[in-house]
Amino acid sequence: MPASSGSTLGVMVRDKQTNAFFGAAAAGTLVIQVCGDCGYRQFPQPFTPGTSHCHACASSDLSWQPVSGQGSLVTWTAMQNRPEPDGTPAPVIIVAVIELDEGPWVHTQLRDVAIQDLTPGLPLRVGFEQPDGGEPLPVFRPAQRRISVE
Amino acid sequence: MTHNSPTAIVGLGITEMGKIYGRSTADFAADAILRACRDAGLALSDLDGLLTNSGLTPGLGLPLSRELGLQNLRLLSEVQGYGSSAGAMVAIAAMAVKTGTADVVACVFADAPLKSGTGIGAAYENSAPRDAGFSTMPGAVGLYGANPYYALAARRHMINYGTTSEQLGAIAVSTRAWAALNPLAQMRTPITIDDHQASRMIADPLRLFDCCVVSNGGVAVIVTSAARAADLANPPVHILGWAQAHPGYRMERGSQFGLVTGAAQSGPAALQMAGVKIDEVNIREIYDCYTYTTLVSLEDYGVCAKGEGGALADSGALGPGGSLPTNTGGGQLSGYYMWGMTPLSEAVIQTRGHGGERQVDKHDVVLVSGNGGVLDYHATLVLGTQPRC
Repeated sequence: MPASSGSTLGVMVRDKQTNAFFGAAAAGTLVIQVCGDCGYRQFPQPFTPGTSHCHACASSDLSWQPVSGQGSLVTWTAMQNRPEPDGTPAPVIIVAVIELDEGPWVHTQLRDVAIQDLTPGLPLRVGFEQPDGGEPLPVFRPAQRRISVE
Repeated sequence: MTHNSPTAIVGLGITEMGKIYGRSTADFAADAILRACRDAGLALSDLDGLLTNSGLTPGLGLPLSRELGLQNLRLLSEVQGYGSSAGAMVAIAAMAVKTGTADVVACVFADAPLKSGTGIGAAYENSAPRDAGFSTMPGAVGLYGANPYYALAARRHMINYGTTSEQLGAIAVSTRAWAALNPLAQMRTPITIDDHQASRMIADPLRLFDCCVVSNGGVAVIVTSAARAADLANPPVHILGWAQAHPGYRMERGSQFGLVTGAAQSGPAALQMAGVKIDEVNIREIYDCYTYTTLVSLEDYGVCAKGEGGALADSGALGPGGSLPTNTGGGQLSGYYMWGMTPLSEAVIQTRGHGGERQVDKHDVVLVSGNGGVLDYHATLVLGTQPRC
């Protein structure tokens, strides 16, 4: 996995809570939490302090399990910081909400697509990108279109 | 004190507001309470209840009672529901008065995020969490502060209902037109849709003029019984109804995020308690951290049908002279950003009939909407010139 210096991703540090997630990410696999009691599937959400309870039944019997890595675009925003002191424009960052085929939403950045080409429902596929000094984070890019053979 | 008596807001205190540096939140809060007591014709020693709500800057809480020398309080608590806090405090105060728990309750909010020499964005971005774990993931992918989250919500509304940036701009324009008439407002120069469209992109689709101002300052209101209110200095603002709603949307397939807010539940519940219908509301004071928040909230209160907030904004009904006066003080977009105290303070002024140049002729029933988090926490109040019979 290429470490991208100058990544638009920030550094996340591995800890007890995130260990299994980053372990899988380092192997190129996106995992989500699955409830052993009710089967509910969830991804860590903003403004939600823990990952120790099922958000559907409050069970603590949760395990990290791989997902397909396929999803579709729900909504998005684009931001650009002020230029560097030497005038170099800052990169445009597209932050999006992706609905995994399995149901949960992931808030993350898009790659290899311009904002004017974004449409709701756009098929996307996960990849991982590792900023210097940080753990690999999921990013999404347009899914490869199937090439039809005549 | 008669139990189950009707209640009213009898005092309003608004401090100096905006780029006021060098004062702590506790200082602003104390100032606001003193002003509210003077406004009501009450002595500080008449207070037997105090509810505080701190903004982003720490320092406001229970110790304020000591700072003001308040003794033998019968109700004292810190309240935190972000943008729903003002509505929550007034409801708690009203319930306390109704039950005889306390007789005269001050509710205060203060914040001082602006520091001299730093940008406005920095005021809020610096509050992003810095601990480890998944709570750092939003920041790592670029989600700092509220702007990008509300941009995600607004975009979703655009996708589903065809809402446009120009329609959001119409709300910026009508809100600024009200602010031009309000000496308390921070941004009073009228703007056009073109000005909105030319304003800097903050988080696509939200431009600078889609975003609220930032303010240092404090606001307090005083709640007591309607019976006691009758003898005080200003016309009583009767508290007719209240409700909260916290939808707890899960972020997953089928989520209503960005499309429907908790106001869809707190609105009808508060109106039912007040015994009025949404069509009988004369003035709407809506939490407007963003233009989009006004638009989606008006839909959820039933001012228009779901998805038609954009057309409503275009119609001109929300501005001065329109048929549905909304955010008559300039709201948070152009007035001042005191969380839920912005809509509440303007509602008190309008219900009293003290709006001066911007006073709406008919002001018998006023709706106050609070929204906190990213459309997570909602509180609605219904205020009026007459107690409910």
